Amino acid sequence: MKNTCVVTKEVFLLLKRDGVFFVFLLFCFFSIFFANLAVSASLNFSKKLFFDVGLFCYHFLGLFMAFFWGNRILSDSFAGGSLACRLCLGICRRDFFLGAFLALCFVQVIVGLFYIVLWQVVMHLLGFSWLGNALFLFYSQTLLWLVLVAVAFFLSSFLSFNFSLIGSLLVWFLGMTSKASFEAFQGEDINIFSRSLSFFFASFWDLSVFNIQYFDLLDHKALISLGIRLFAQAASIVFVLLSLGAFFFEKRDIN
Amino acid sequence: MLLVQNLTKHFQIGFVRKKHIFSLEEISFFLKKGELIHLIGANGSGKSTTLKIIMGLIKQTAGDVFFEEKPITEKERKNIAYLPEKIYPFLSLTPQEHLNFFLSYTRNFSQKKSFKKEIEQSLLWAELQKERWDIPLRFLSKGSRKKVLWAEVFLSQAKLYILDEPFCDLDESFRLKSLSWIENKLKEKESSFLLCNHYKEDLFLKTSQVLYLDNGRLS
Repeated sequence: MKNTCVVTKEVFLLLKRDGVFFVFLLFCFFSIFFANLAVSASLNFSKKLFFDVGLFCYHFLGLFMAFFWGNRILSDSFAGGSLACRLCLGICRRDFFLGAFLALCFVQVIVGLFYIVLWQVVMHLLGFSWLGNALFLFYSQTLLWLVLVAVAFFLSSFLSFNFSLIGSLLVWFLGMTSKASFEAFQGEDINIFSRSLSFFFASFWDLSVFNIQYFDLLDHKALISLGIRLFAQAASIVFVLLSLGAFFFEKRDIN
Repeated sequence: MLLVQNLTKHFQIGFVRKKHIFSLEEISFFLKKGELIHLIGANGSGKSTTLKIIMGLIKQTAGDVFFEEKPITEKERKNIAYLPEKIYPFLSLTPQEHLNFFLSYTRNFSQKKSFKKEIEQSLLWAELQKERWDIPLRFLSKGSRKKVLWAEVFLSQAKLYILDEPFCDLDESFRLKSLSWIENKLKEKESSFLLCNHYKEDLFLKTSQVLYLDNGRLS
């Protein structure tokens, strides 16, 4: 546990030095700029449009950070020999794997909180109301970020940077479209293999559950129970992916 | 203290046409407390592979490694200091930060107050100029980075020191200083050394065994 905490602290410092927060600031600047542009180009000065652009940017900010840094942390430490340097101190590989994952999750949560606060301030300055229940969407997207970090760590535990980055993007795309493709196959004359495959992915790897479209129809109580369900789902996916990743990471030679 | 028994390693290359490259073949040796073993061999003879297997970075194909009569695990490795040949710590960290994390990993948090003083002492011992203490390692020369790793070795309270090409990239004065540090440690009879390099001139150290590795075999 002690070693995991120190790894988390060390990797967090490395991420900070690597300019992760600078990228976040740039992203914020551009997302506010584009949201303003979209709103001023629209016919009516719409809160929904402004909010949608903000949420879209939020999704891609998390995706970019999870995939780029999630895949980089392990592959960089393999390549530079820094991982070897640390493991020689008697640190368990599982501790390093978990510590590095927690460091990136910590960065994601900080970035998420800052983004939400910033977005609220900008909306307030433009005369829009408080986010209210819409905050739930940011919460579910943050859970999705953490799942995507786990995907990146799982793949980079046995693949090199390029392969794990491409793999992560494919797995994300599959997760976002699996349910829609399964529903499209319903009732069509399609072979049993394709149908079973799409059923498998729609049941076990459906990331679209984190995109809630009916949040404004739910009352406070229903939102809380949905929030708990989503948290449990994200935690179980993260647990499975990290366990598998740690298993592969344990077996890998460090040259 | 350290027993290496029939250590064998072969690397497998390719997925379809599998090719096996033998790196080590049934290496065995025993290092007693307070002694030094000098591992010598040409490039690619398997010296670094042997050390990496002992440190758990590479899994052996066959054979065993025992430290103080127990199969070696992460717990035992806490008593071993390893100076790698060409691998470096995280280059975004400064020497001070690197050593601070090193102490955080290897010592209790209750000793944290003494960390700063110990780090200063070790960096002074390693003859690293003071103005470089808070510069990220990526901006330091190879020799200075090696000195940071030597400072780490100096700080560790290990029972066994495994040093892989410890004197390459170092200036002459620090090379002599580190050699005399090894000699003093050996005189204390508390710690053992497994040292590997190409140069026979370092053999003036009081060596208990010299092992010549040739194509993965002891000769």
